[in-house]
Amino acid sequence: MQDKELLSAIREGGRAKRLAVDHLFNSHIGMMQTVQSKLHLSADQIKDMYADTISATIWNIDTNRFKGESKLSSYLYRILYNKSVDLLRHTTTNKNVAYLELAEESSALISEDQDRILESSLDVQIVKSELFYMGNPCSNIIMDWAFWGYDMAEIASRNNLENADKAKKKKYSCMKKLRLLLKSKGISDL
Amino acid sequence: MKNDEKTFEKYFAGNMSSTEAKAFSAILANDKSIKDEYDYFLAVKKGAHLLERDQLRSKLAKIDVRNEAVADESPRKTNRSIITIIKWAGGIAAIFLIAFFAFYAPNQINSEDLFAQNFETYVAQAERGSSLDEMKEVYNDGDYNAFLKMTENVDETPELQMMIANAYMNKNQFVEAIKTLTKITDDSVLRDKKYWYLGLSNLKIGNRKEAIQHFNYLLSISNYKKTETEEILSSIHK
Repeated sequence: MQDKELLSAIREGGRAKRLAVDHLFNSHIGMMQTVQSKLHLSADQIKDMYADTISATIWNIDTNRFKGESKLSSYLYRILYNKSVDLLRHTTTNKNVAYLELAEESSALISEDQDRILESSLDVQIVKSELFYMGNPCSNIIMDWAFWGYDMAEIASRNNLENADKAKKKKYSCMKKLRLLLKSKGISDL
Repeated sequence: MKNDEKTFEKYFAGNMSSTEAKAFSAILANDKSIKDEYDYFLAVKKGAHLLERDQLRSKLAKIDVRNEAVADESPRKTNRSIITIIKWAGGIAAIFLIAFFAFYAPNQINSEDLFAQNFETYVAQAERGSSLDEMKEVYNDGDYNAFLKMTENVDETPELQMMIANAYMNKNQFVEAIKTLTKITDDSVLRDKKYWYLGLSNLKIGNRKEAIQHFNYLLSISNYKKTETEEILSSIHK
């Protein structure tokens, strides 16, 4: 799958996005090892950084922040590397180690990593938890709409609802339910 | 929310013209009820992205990144050794080391970066009813140890050889990957990919001469990854 096709499939949503995300995830797994060996991260750390990188990239494509100006693999590599450097900065006890100094070269690129916006808010973490714990079908329906971008007809068929209209009504009631759950957690301004 | 959702989607996805976006920003600044709705819309989108990120983390938990192999060559140990040498050998040794790294390090980093920026795992194409379907699923899920185990005592087709080679590449076993790739015959539809991955594997383990030969051969027989191949060759020659 070429970069252009992949970007357009992610932005199209639905099944096309699902296939494109799988492709994006599977075809760059080897990057983890390169960055891990350069920066001496543990297996768990590099895996977390890789998941964050894929997630950040999807967010940047969804919101049109990444339009394919550079090669997708180079873009992913930069984010993974920058995130890993950032993690080292926060976890290492000896800031003078040479590999971290070398890694500093990339700090100018960190602003590209837009998903800090995603992780910065406690409220968003609570939204994520409530979305998970509210269970199905609401959890699936909201994910199908908010992350995967399925249209209402597809959401209906994926969630055993009669038609698009029923799916739309169900989604509306699920969103209402989620909002109430969030209010009960003290998030009143949503 | 109901009627505004299409507008929210358009704004969120960056699909508005600059005039439309400015106008919508002004609405958000002045109309608290719409702003609250948009904030909720955005919070759900972000929450959904974070939830999917957790799914990716779970998927990755199964994958072996070969941490053990890396730990033996950790930069911490290397740096400690270098510092010790510098302390003992003094200024002359330091100058020698700087000269040594100035000569070798750029090439080493360049090859690794070139590999990392260009290596994308071959994705197996699913075919309903194919006997390879289960293997392809395990392979595409990135569970390379399980996949390689499944391939024992199975007749190797060119596609299976390509998958096996890619599994080895992901496991940092490039010599095995090269051996497997060379088994793919040149009359296979995977011929171009074979030379691409041969070039990359050789590049990764520092066999520059072989990498150049494979990339040059690929350019001579096909347009597959032409731009990338030319870029790699040009970087290698710098």
